[in-house]
Amino acid sequence: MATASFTEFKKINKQFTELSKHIENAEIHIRTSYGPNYYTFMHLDFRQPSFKTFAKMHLFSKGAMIPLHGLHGLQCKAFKNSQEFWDALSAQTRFTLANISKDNTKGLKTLRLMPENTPESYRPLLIQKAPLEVTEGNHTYRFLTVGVSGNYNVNRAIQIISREDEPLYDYLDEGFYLMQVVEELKTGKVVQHNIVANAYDINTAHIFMMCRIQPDLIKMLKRECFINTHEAELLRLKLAKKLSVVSKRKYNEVSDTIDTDYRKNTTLIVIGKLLDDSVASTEIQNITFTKSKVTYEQVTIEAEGLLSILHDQLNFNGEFDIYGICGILSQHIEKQLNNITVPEGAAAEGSARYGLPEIKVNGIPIVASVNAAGQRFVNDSRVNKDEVSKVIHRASCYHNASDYKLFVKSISKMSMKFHDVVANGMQVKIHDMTKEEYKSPIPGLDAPSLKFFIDKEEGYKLEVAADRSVKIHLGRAIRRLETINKKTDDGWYYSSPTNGYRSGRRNNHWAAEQIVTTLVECCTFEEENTLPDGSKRKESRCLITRDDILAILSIVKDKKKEAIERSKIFMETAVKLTNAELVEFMGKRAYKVQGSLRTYAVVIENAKVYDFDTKQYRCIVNDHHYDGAGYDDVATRLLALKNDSVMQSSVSTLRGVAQPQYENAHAHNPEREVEFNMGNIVDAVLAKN
Amino acid sequence: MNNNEIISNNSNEVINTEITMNNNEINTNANSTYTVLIANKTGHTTMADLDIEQTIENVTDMVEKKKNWVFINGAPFEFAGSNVRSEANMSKLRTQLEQNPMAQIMLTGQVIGGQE
Repeated sequence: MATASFTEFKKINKQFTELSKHIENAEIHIRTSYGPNYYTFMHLDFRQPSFKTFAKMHLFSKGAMIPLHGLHGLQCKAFKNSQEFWDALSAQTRFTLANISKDNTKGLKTLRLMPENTPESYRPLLIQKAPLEVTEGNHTYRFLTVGVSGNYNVNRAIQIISREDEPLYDYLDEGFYLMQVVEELKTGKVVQHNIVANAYDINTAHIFMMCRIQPDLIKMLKRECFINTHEAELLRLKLAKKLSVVSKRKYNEVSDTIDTDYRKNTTLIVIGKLLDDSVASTEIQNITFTKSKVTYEQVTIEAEGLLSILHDQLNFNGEFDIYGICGILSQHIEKQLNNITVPEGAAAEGSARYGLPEIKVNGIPIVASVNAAGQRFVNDSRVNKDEVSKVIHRASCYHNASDYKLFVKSISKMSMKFHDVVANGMQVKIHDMTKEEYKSPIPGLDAPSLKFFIDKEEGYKLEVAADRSVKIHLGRAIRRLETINKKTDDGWYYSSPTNGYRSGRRNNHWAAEQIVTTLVECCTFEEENTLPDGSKRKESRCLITRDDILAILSIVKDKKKEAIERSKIFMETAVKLTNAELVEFMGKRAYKVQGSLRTYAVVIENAKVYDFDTKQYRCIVNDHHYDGAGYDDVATRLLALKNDSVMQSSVSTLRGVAQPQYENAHAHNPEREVEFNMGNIVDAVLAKN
Repeated sequence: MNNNEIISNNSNEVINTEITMNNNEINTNANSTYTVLIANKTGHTTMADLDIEQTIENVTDMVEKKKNWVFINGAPFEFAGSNVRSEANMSKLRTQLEQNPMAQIMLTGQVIGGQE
């Protein structure tokens, strides 16, 4: 049961009394909504309305929207029935009125500003198609429909009906902009105004906003409803002077949003102008755009419909460069190639190809095509399906068609992925990593790499040392190593019970184990051996040895060594800053540091902290966020202990007496020198294989 | 301010007093550079010759992401509350850096009491 105030009910009662004069029948729904302090508003909805004439509909529309769903009862010559009228209203585009959106900038000359930051209540609607005109008796009516959500069960409604003797009628043209403004007069009467502009630009946007804030300004508009963009600049100044103090404050709060939109979006409007040939070219971020060509310094990209492609995919207001644009075009081509439908019955491999229109990058003509077998080609050279965009993108690095041709031919023989791996090596996640690196499927920049090269006689080979290499199935190795990198996420694994229950973390050690298995499998080749009886037998032989694998994995040791050396420098800086002194403490090398509360000793070997005078242990451990290496733990402790009176709020065990009873409670095995224990890992894997 | 009083050999009268003023104004942002040293597992980073804005940004970033402790010339700098980038924290950090031109800022991991 809905309850409302006496005032609210009087309001809707009055509304019903006025509107019911024009309507034959309808379902009446009373909605409630809540305002500040739980004030209940009441709203009347007329559903499934029945009107006899358009004249009645016109009068009704002054007080409420007319839902199209269930509209019936029309008796007019123009339409056989209400359905025919509804169909006529829905022709072409669904609604006459629509929100301004990016799609509308294509070819729309009247849109000169895209409202993104401007609050929605201050944005007009676009008249996206000419309104339906119906003549009844001596009058002609124009109908403007709109999509509505939430108010009714349906989402189609007639928002405005204008008669030919009303000023608004003359301005309801396609491409114009309309806003409805409700004004509450001092008498309590509510009046609805409609205002229209013939273009949406920075000046008309401000005028719409001012009229919304202070509706009495509307009478300053032409025929109290129209804003002519050619006069808008002057009109805007006049209206601004007429703003009341309260209105001006409110206007100042929101008007910046229009200026922000103006700054951001003139670019999109210019692109729109390029698309509809209003301008021949434009320059954005030092890149010159025409409809089919983009140029930056020595790099050019040409394609039919290039600007349309970019309009949909490039954020012109963001950061971009010519190579990014080349990337967008090449990915677009790859997608288009995937969408080509080969005619049924077409012969398979080797037959005709179905190609896309030629594009040019740096003047180099490029044609992408596909044959009936689904094989991709770039300029007659076959390339992998998932490398088409990369091959095309690479053309931006060439300025010579014959050089590019050689490149594409080489890719045809060996894919780009193989090229990159042979040139740069393949990084593997077998080193100490941060949490972020573990999460990424791609190893970080400083991950160790496995190196490969091509031997003319033996094919792909894995570099073990300067003077040793091993033949390898490279494609298989790349696939397996990529999978290992992706899976090395420091997550838990649980192996199947049939193999003996085993669990562990998929960390760098786990990755090293997997890589050992991979190297063994990928370096195993079949050989034909002649037996003593003269018969021949194929046998598998693993070409990689234990020592080879250890040598390859020793790159990890080198990286670790570097990290520890750097940590020593870091520690020395901390020693200087804290005036720590190197001493012998309880038979071990330690730093003595003077805090405000007491003197401490930090044993270098294990970073344990003791009160220097009493030789009693203070229990201080690394936090779970701790991410140091090598001697960082000593450096951190020196700095904290030097400032013990401040740091005791974070390190509670600095307060009061020491905690000798916990000296061996925590297992802390800091890295001091590099231990290379890959031998155990390698032996364990080789034993299994 | 150095106060050079020259006293004659014969008397205690001050004959010539030179007062030299060393302009020990606190170095403003424009002239100060800072060095930030970061310790972490994958490698130790030293960022030298940073201006005050770069220093503030790097320090704040590492504290937010890695929960590092900050020591400016060996003295701890504490951020108040959970919002590292609050106005109060930023202002406090800026003031501290302005008072310590050419400072070495060390960012370390945290340690805690073992029985917490």
